[in-house]
Amino acid sequence: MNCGLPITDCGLKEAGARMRALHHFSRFFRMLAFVSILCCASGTRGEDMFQQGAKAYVAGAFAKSADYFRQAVAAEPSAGGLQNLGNAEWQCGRTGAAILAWERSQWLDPFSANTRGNLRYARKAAQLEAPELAWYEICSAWLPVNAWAWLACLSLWAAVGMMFLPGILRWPRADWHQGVAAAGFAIFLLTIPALAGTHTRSRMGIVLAKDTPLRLTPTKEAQVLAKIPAGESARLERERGNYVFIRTSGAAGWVESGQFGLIACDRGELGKESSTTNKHE
Amino acid sequence: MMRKALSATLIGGIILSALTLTPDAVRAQAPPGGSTLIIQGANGPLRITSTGSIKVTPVNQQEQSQAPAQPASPDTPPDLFNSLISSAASIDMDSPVTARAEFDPPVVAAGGRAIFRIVLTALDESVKQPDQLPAPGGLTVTPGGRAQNYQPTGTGRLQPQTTLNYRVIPSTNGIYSMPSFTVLAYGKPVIVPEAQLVVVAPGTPGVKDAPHLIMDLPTNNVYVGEMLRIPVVLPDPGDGSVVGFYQTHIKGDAIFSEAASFGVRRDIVHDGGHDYAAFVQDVTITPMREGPQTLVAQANCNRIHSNQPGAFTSTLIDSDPQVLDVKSLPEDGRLAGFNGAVGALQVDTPQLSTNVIKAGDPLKMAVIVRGEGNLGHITPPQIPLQHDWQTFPPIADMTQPFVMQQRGFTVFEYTMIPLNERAAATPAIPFSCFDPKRGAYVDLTIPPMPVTVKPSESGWKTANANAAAAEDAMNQDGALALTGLAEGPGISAGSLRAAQQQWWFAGLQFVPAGLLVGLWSWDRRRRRLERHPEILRRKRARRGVKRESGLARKAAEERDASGFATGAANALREACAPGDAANPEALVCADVLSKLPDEERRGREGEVVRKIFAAADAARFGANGRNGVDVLELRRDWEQVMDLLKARL
Repeated sequence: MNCGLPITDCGLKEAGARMRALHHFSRFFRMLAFVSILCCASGTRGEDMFQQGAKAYVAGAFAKSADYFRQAVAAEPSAGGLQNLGNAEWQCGRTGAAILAWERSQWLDPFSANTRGNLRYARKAAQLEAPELAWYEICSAWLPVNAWAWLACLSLWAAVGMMFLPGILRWPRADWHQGVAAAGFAIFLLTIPALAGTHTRSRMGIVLAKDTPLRLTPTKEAQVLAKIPAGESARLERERGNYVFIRTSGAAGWVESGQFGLIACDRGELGKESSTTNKHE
Repeated sequence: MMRKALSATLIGGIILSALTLTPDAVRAQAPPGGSTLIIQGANGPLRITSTGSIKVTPVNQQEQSQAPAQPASPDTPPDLFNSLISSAASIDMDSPVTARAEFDPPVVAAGGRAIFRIVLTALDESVKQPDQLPAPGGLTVTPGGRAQNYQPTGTGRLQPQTTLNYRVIPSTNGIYSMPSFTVLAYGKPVIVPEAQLVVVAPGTPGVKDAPHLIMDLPTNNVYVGEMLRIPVVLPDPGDGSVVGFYQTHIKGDAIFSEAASFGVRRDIVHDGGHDYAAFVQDVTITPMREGPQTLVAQANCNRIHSNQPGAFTSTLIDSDPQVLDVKSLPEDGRLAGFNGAVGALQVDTPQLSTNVIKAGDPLKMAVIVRGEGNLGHITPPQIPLQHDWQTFPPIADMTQPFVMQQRGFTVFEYTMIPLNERAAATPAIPFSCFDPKRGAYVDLTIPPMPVTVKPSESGWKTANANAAAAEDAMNQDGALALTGLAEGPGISAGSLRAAQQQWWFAGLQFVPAGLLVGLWSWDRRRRRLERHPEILRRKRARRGVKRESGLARKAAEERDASGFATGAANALREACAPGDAANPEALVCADVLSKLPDEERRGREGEVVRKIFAAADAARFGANGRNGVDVLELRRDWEQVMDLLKARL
C-alpha cells in the first residue's frame, strides 16, 4: 500500500539530494568549461602573437618581433616560439637573451636541429663555450624534459601493476606479466640518472647582461671578481635577496638576479629577462 | 674589530698594488703631498719622493736597520711573497685619532669665499661626520671636497689623514666661531675643536679669498662614452703664495676619471674679457650615464707657509659643483660593428705580415685606429665567421690608455689562418664609431686585404695537425648560420619547470597508488568473505529482518492483520535463514520452530510462531483466515521471539 504513494518524506529527501548532486555536477562542469575556454583563449592569443612576431621578423622589425614572441611564449611556452624569440633577440644584438631563449627551446625540444645550430652559431660568434655537462645530464638532454618524468612514472606503475594486478584480479598466470614488470622496472631504473640530470640542469642558466660583474659578496659595493660576458652558462647555487650565487666554468660569485636567467623557469617569469637585459646591454 | 678589518683591507690593497710593480720596486708609500717609491738602485735602495719636485735620496741607515733581518740562504732566492709582506707599509690605526679644524683663510671679506677644513688622523672610510655642521648664523656652509693621504710617523709607520672641506661664505662682518662638535672615527667619537673666522669689509687690503678650482666644461653636446679633456684652473693670486697643485681629479656619480692627468702649466686664462694668470691642468674624464651629471674638481694645492717663509704646505682645495648635461648615444643610424668607440676616429690601411701565404699558416694583421676619442677603451671588433678562414680573438693594444691618448692611436692585432687556397682576401671586419662633433655614426669597416694563398706542400691535413683540426671544425661550422624562423609553436608545455619538480606531478602519483591500495583492500575483503560465507548471510539476514520487521510493525500500526502476519512470518524466516543456508522464502513454520530451543518451541514462543505462520498462510492462500485482531495481539510475543532469534545472528 505504501509503495503506491508517489511522494513521501523519504522521497522528498532523496529528490533534494539528487538536486544538490546535480547542482554540484553542473557547477563542476561550468568551471571545467570556463578553464577550457581560458586555455583555448590563451592558446589562440599565443598563436596570434606567434604569427605577428613572424611577420614583424620578416619585415625586419626585430625588436617588435621579439616583443610578440615574448608574449607568445608567456601565453604558452613552446619550442618554436622560444626558437623564434632567440632569433629575434639575436638580431637585436642581445646575445644573452638569445642564447637563453634557444636553451629553453632545446629544453622543451632537444630534437630541433635549428635550435642546436643556432646555439653553436651564437657561441662561436660570441666566443663562448658550451656548458660542461655531466654524463647523466647529457642523458637527460636526449629527450624533452618532461618525457623522462612521464616515462619513469608510467614504467614504475606499469611494473608495480603487473606485479600485483594479476593476483588481485585473478588473471591466469602468464609469462608476459613478469616480462612487463621486469621491463617496467628496468626502464624506471634507467630513467633515474636522466631524472637526476634534469634536476641538476634545471639549476643552469645564462648570464644576460654584457660584462656582468661577478661579486665577492651579495652587495652592490662588493668587490668585483670578474666580468662575465653575456650568454655565458652558469649554475645557480643559492640565492640571497636580490643576488644569486652562480658558478661558471671558471669562476663563482654573486650577480644580481636580474642579470641571470634560469633555463627552467615558471611561465610567469618568461619574458622578464629581456627587459632586464635591455637595461644592461 | 673595525680597525683590524680596515687595516687588513688596506694592507691587502697595498700588497695587491705592490704585485703590479716590478720586482725591484719593493715599497710604495705616499708621503704628505706626494708619494715615495723605494727602488733597488745600483748602489743600494734609493728613495724617490715627489713633492712638487722630485728628489732622489738614499734611504737612511736608521730605516735600514729597522728592517727585519731575514736569514736568507745565499743559494736560495728570497721569496717574493715574503718580500712583499715585509715591505708592505704599516698603517698606524692604533694611535688615538686627533682632529684639527681651521678656516682658510682665517680672515676673509664679507661675501668672500673661505674653506672650513677638518683634518682627522683616521682612514677616510671610517670617518662619519654630521650631516649639518653647527655653523653660526651668517655663515653659509656647504660640503666640499674630501681626500685622504698618509703622513710618516717617527716609528716608520704611515698615519692616515682625512681632510674634509666645507665651503663657507660669510654674509656680514664680524667674528664667527664654529663651535666644537663630534665626529665618528673607527666608530668612536672624536671632538673637532672650535675654529674662528674673522670677516672684514670687502676691499680691506691684504684680505684674499680661499684658493679654489675652476672647471672649464664644454658647452657643446656631450655624449655617453665620449672622452673629454677638461681644463682645471687654479687662479694665481700673483703674490707668490700659490706654487701649484697636483693630484687633480674630477668627481661625479657616473664619471670615469683617468688615473693619469696631463701636466700642470702656467697660462693666461681668458674669462669673459677678463684675463688672469693661472695654473692649468687638463683632466680626462668619460661620462658613463646620460642626463645631468654634477662634477666637482679636487686637488692638493701647494702654498708657501705664511708664517714660515720658504716652507711649503699642502691643502685640499676644490671647485664649485658644475652640471654637465650628457646625452645618450642615438639609437637611430647605429652601424654594424659599433662597440662603444666614440670620437673622431679613422682606420689606417691594415698591415699584413705577408701577402703570400700557405694554407694552414697563420697570418697576422695589424690595424691602426687613430684620431681623437676613447682610444684607450675601444674593444677590437670581432671577425665575422668565415668559411675559408679560421680566426682568433683579436688582441687589443696593451699600452696604458693614458699613453695611447697622448700618442693618438691604438693598434688591434688579428691572427687568422687561411683554410684553403680559395681565400683570396682577408675578411672585412665591421667596425664603426660615433662622432660626437657630427652627431652621427661613422663607418670604419676594416677593409679586406688581398692575399695569395698557396696550397700546402705536403698536403693540408698531413702538414699541420692543428690546422687540420681547425679545418674539420670549420667544415663542421660551415653550416653554421642563423636559421630561419620555426613555422609553428611545436612542442609546448604549461611551464618550463620540469614536471618532476612540480607539486601536481607528485600528487598525481597518489592516483595509481590509491587505485592499487583500493584494489588490494577489495581483494582482501573478498577473500575473507569467501572463507566465511556466513558473515554475508548473517548480514543479509539482519538486513532482511530489519526490512520485514519494519513492514510488520507498520502493518500492525495500521491494524492490517494480514500485512502484519505476512511481515512477521517473513521476518521469522529471514532471522532463521543463515542457520540453514537456505533461501528465506523456502522456510516453513517447522524450519523456524527447529531453530528455537526445545523449551521455547513447546512453550509460548512456539505457539506464537505457529499462529503467525498460520495467519500468514491464511492471508496468502485466501479464505479461512483466523480473526485478524487475534494476530495483531501476538505482536508483543512476536517481538520477543524476534529478539531471541536476532541475538543468534
